[in-house]
Amino acid sequence: MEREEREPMVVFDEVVKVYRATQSLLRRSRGEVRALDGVSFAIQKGEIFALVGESGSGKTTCGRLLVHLESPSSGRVLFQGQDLATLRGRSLREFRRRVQMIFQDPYQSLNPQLTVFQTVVEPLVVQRWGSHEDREQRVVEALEEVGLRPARDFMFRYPHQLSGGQRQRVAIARAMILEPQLVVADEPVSMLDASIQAQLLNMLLELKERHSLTLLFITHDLASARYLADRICVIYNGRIMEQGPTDLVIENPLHPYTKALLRAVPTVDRRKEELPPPACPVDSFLAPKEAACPFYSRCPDCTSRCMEKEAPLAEVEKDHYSACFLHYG
Amino acid sequence: MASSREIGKERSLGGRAHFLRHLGENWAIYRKNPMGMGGLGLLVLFGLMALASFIPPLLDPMYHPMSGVDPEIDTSVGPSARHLLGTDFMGRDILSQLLTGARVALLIGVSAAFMAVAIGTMVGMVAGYFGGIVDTLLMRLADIVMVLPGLLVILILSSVAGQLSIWNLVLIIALLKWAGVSRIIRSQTLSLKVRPYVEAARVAGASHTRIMFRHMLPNVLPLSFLYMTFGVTSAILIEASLSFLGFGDPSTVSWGMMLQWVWKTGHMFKAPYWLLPPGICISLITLAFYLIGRAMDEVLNPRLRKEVLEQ
Amino acid sequence: MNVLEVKDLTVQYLTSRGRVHAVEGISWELRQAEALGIVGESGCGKTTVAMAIMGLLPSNAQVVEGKILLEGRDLLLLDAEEMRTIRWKRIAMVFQAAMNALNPVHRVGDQILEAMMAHDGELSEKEAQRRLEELCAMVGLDPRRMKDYPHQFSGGMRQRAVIAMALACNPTMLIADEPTTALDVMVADQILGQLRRLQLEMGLAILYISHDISVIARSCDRMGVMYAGQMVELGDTDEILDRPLHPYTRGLMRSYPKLRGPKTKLEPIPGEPPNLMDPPPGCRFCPRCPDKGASCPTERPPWIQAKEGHWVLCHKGEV
Repeated sequence: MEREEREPMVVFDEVVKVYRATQSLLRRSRGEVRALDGVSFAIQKGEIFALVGESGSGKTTCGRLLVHLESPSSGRVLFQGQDLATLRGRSLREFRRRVQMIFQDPYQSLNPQLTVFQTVVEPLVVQRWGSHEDREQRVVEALEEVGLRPARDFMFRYPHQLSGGQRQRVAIARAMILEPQLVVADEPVSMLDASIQAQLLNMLLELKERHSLTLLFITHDLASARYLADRICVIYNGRIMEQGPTDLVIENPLHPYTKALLRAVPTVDRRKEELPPPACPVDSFLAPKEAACPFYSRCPDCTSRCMEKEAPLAEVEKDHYSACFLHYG
Repeated sequence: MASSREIGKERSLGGRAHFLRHLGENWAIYRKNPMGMGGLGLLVLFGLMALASFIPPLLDPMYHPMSGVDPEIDTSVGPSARHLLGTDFMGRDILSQLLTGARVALLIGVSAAFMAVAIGTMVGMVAGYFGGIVDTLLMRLADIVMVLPGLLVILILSSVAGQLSIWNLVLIIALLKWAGVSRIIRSQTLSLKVRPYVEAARVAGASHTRIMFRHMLPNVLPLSFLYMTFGVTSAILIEASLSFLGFGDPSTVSWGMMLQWVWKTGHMFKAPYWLLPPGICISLITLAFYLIGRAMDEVLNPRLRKEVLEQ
Repeated sequence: MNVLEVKDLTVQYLTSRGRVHAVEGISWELRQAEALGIVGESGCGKTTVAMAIMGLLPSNAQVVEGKILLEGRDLLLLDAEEMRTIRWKRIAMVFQAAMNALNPVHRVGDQILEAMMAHDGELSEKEAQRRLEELCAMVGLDPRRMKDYPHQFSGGMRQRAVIAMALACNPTMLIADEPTTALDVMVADQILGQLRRLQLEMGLAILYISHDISVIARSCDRMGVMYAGQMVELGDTDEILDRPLHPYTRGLMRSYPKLRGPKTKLEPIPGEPPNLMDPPPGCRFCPRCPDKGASCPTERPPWIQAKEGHWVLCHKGEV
């Protein structure tokens, strides 16, 4: 999956993440959730990579693994060639300077007890960057860059005095203040109104251009993924279903799940259409067998082979990968 | 253009100014609560009593609660112009004893409660934040402490160690009472730990200490304060019980001690002017803190408030 | 024949910080067997409108002016008792995130039956059971699952259950407030399809309320756009989406990234909605409008029928 000699900035290598549902010191844990089940992909430097999936697909887990909030149960996550599991002390601090995150909920991602200034300056303080004057200057720049002008008006306000859109801008300023190389944006606009969403999407594009950022954009909305991203990766039930350049995935979707998603997304261009029901019942509670394709029970094109074995992700056309038996023998 | 010194001041003021500003809002809510105002009123009364306790001995040495000797009275007599509440079995002035008792009650109550809550908050935060084996060990310890029969332990300790001074008592009460608080604070910490702003601090590289003190503690403190008000009540009651049973510090005058003297000297049914005041005071101060606690609960928990602000 | 007619409705909230002008002078109607969608961003007043219709406004709300006519009868003039007989039997509502409001300790079937019995005490058990099965068929649930508890249902199934509860007493009209917000894309699409089928097959009139214009586009015959407490445009869905007249509607359309067609740069509406405690005197959208006229900041715009059946609140509505 590498492009020529350039080392990808991020590599997920067969990452598995399992959560135990019940904890017990005496007994083996009963019930586990495989949030990620062998996920592999790579993000190139300077691109916007969209990870698209519905709730429970594991997309947020990928984001959290990438910023090292959690560690994989097996497999490796590499940043600039280095396995995150090996980060310690100084290398960990350096990593934290280069990789930042924007969270989804603007109402929870800012500490209600701290002013905007205190929130945005925190990464600088933690990284022991600059003097007081330097930090103040940086905060002003960061706030103005995300559209909170004049910065002085906003610096001493508390989160409850700001609207959702303004709070999210503060969260973005906080993520950008250390001038990171990679930003993980976990559904950064889903909780905002449409017109504010549009403002922030454009802002993310500008920031990416101006700072040569690499962006992992996690979302459930295919339309905004199409707008922002260079490449789209579709994830379902902890496994990657399809991956490729945005235009290819949208115009010529390969995997049945991608096709179903594209048909189901309500957009302003689609009116009052009647969706044909899928071949298999959608709301069934059948748990597929361990090894089966995760989409088996909802797939209109499912075959008995899909029930036995999951198709591996394979390159179907140049740079366009799909995990489905439909595409190969 | 604000200078950096202003920013610095604002920054350190930020935390305090915020609390102060919130104090204004919170006070407005508290004020509307009749229970809270009642409790606060009573507390102010007891506070004044405590302050006033210094006055009688200054007026005349015979009004000293412990060593005051009235040349003319050496038994317990009822209220008179000389002694507004009467005298105890040794001729000492009951009113000044009552006033001193208020001072002692508040001192013990607040100190013990403060220490208990301080210990409980620290333990709860550390247990909740670090989880794993640290959590398990600390919470098992808390369980053991919670299950101990407090009064019995103190009685045993004091009979083993001889007389316990007031400050020993305060320490022991704190060591017995921290456990309940720690459980609550631990729950709160667990829920705070997963808040996105805490995770954002981790992603920025904040150390554990910084996260605990900057992000969690301020959000946990209101709960701690609430538990302090409950703690004061129980500390006062423990001290009163101990003194009444004869295990208190004989060199200090407390309401419990007064009750012990009434009882031991056989004046229980003979001297209502001596029996009733300390008993009533104990009840009222307990009531005061209870009412304050209830009102604070409403301040801290917006859902309990009567007024609904709609947009 | 109009199932519901709203005329000049104005609702304000009294708070300790001032008076919030939540809804101002809106007029629209919902016809029989029609799906009307009200779209607007948060704070525009759309939920207030729904609450006013259902008689569920909070105690600090004041209906300053207006009429809400349900088949000719003004709901605002009814007292609590009378409103209770109307509620659920003539108008039912599916609230936002109602699927999370199902009581976790009661079986789903029992909860639907309870909704039925609460509003129609004369039903016999047999009739109620029969109706329950009917409802299951209507919303697409398996009647054998009625003995399950809510946590055993998926999100989509719970939403269907809530819709079944709303339809229990065979209302003339249904209000669906953000019916698909917490649901996954494919499940949401199914629910919307199911609702559409109900509308067409049963002649049910549905009022959809959503912040998401694409949901309205998918489900509604007519739509109204609300901004800052006012209705700024009203008309046929296709007509409005193809030829939006109001600058806010146009701006809103340009804020949605498209899945098909050329990738044009989004042109979001600059600024933020006004503070409803102190709304601007003239047109409320004026501060953000790219097309301001001389009278816009000071004079209230007129509500005019620019084309047949297409209304707009704008000084330049004649265009």
